Amino acid sequence: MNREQKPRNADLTGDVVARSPGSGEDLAKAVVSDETGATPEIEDEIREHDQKDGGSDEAPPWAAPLRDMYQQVVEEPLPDFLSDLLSRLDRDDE
Amino acid sequence: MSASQTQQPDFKRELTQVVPHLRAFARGLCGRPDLADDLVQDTLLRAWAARERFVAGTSIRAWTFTILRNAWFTEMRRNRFRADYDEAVADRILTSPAGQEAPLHLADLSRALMELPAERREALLLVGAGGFSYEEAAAICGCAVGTIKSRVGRGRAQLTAMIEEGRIPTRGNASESSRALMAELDRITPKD
Repeated sequence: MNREQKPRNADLTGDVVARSPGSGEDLAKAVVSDETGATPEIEDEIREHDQKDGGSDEAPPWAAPLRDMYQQVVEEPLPDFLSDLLSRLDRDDE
Repeated sequence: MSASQTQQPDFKRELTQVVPHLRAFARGLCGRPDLADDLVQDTLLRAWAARERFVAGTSIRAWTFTILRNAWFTEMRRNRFRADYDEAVADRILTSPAGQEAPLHLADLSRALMELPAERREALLLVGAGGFSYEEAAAICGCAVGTIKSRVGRGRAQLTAMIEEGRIPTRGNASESSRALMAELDRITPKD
């Protein structure tokens, strides 16, 4: 499985390095508070959803299938019209 | 340093590498492979036209995802990508990996995703499937990090409830999903 190594995204996130998909950590920890802008009301709301969800320590049952669904498309061969477009991009500039 | 100061082949190589991810994100947003690939095509053309504005060394994946989601919302407003979710195509394409226990069929998941409000669906796709951090997802969607966290939390709860309570829409209800999506888009996108 080839995953793109994302470069550090200085203009978007400052000192945040992209996390690797696959662990379900972000989904499981959706209620974690930090200092990045979530208001207490939003955090309470997320916490409430999470409690209804049965706790925050486990990834929901659809988390792995969601990644599978995404990854399945990533691994598909490109359709010809997109490959052709890519090959034409710089040729059309000449 | 902009793309004009770096090598054009480098930009093209990076753009080519990100195409499979653009297709996956677009497929999750649209629910239809044909429309998703049209959206990717538009995105590639827009990204190429704007390549002078890409800052070398930053994430081309985040940059192009931003272009794609903005194009999607714009085109949805223009009616171009309005279409019913294609159940038959989803059933054919979205199959569970061989040899794995699969309590949740991927086509069911895809159908359930289409039931979510567009904002929650894209948040789950970016964070839960695409592996973006909350900060990156917020930048892509043009909103605060707290907003993305809220969307992920709400989307997560809604999707879990839908699956656990067996409320995944059936084939016959696919057009209902599409109507719900359009109602949501009408609510969240500015009028021209």
